Amino acid sequence: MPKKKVIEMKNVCKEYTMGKVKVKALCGVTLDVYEGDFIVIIGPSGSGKSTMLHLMGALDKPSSGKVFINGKDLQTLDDWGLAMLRRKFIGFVFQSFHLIPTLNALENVMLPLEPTKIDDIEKIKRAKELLKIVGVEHRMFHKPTELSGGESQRVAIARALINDPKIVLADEPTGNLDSKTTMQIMDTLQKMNKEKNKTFIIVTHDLSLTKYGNRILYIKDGLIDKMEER
Amino acid sequence: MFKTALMNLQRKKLRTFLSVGMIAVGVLAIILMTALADGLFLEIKNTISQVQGIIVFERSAYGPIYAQTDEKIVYELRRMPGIKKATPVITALTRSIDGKETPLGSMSMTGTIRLFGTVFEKSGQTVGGVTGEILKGRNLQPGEKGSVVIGEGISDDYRKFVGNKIKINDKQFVIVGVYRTGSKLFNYGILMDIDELRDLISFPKNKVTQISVELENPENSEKMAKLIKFKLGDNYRVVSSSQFTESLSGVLGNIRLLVMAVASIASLVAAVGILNTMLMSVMERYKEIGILKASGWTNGTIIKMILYESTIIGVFGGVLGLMFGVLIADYLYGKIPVRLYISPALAIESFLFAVLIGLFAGLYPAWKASKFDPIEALRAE
Repeated sequence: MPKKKVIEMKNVCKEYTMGKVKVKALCGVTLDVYEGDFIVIIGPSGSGKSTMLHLMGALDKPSSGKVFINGKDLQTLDDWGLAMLRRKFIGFVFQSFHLIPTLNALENVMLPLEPTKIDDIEKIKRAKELLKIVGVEHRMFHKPTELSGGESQRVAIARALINDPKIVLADEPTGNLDSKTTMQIMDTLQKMNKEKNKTFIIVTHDLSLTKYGNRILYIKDGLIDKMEER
Repeated sequence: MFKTALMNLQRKKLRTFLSVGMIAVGVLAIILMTALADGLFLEIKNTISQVQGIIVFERSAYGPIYAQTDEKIVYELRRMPGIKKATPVITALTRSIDGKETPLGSMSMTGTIRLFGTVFEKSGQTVGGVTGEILKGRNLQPGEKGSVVIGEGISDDYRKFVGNKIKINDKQFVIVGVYRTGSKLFNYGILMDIDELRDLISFPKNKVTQISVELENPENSEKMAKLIKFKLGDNYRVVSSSQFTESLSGVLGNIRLLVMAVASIASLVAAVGILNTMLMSVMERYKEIGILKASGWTNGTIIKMILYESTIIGVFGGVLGLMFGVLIADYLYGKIPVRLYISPALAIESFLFAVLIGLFAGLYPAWKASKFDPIEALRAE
């Protein structure tokens, strides 16, 4: 059975205007992402890897070219359409976790479901399940300030998975973590990738993470410089 | 969503509390000032409702107190069908009581003392058209000189009782009774024989200030007023109490609006305060709102959350303002001459006003938050 395409980028360019100067962040990128992929995108800062992640996460639209997520052309969607796409298909993990300080771990995980019609009992059930999978179930009633970096990121991963997305995008997810915790977090992500068949796209400049991916993308000056498949 | 909004507000407790306080003060201003106007209105309405039937007085005067009306039209009125009684009345304000000067001014609520001079009848319980009851002592006898009946207010304020002497302007009288009416204003009055009062204030002979007309059927007052007017001609003003209430309602309604408008300015200041608070709070959550948007919150959901927050501030402010309003009105009851009257309508209006202010003050911050670009917000790392 051929693998299903979840993201399709066709000759994508993205330009920004900084003041009066136009800056090309990305140019001529073509890439297909399949279900179950674990892609690691490596590149120096300013190479355009974050821009690529934003486009794949339906946070932004390309200046030219086409991006399809789950078959939907981003160009045809308005703000609301993009938000709904993110809600249904995409989860985000960030370098600084970005948990809300007044909410405990459980409430943070449930937050993306708040605008949905799913009832509270179901939300809590799902959130507890995910916290168990990522291994911080025992910390669910703790506030972010009481959690370690590794624990916080695990909570953030659970939050990214709460809407049962097809794709999880992570921007430097281990950037604030020590090497031991980094390995644990990456193991967790890999476990979710294998067990739940979710697509993961990790952006990093940490070369040691390349061993986790089935496809490694090297980005340089807004272009895919090299791609390794394993 | 409500719970999240509530938790967001709890993050900066002092700031939330101050915003709530601002709204509460605005609501309090509206409530107290309007309650004062309403209380005043109620008191005046009470007073007028004590006046029965119709008052007839000379056209050129501003009001019955300043009129000089021909006494002989009493006889004309008494001959008209439908009229039970027509009584000549002289009203005046005292200059001094026991040598102490009393304030003048016909609308002043306290201090002013009215003198009512009229013709007493054996069975008379109404005086000058005002209903009342004799609390202590007795009413005046027809033609009785040297005696007065005083209102409850004077009895309380001047510590005067039946049997005491009282010096009005320059003349000494004996108090034979104390009366009470349903109106505070009328409780500051002194009743005496009409001729005695005429002497006391040197009022012209054969003149009175007004004639009080009692009807056989009080419901007919509008119709009878027209009839009397037709009969007496344009030289006289004929005012029925219901008519008087109506025209007064008009004036007081306008005053109430004015008072509310002034108090609303306080609330507008509070609205700007909330606007500022919410704007700051939204700016501080720049990144967080970016995360929410990345997790699939739509612009609409973000707007909803912020509006919830600002409206909750309005609701709490409204409740707090209302609570303090009622407490203060309660505390001041009996301590100031006018009762602060908080009607259910006023309570509901001012509460809704607070809620709406919260809602409206949240609109711009909510819109602003919804326009945050998640990429910009997340890049701010």
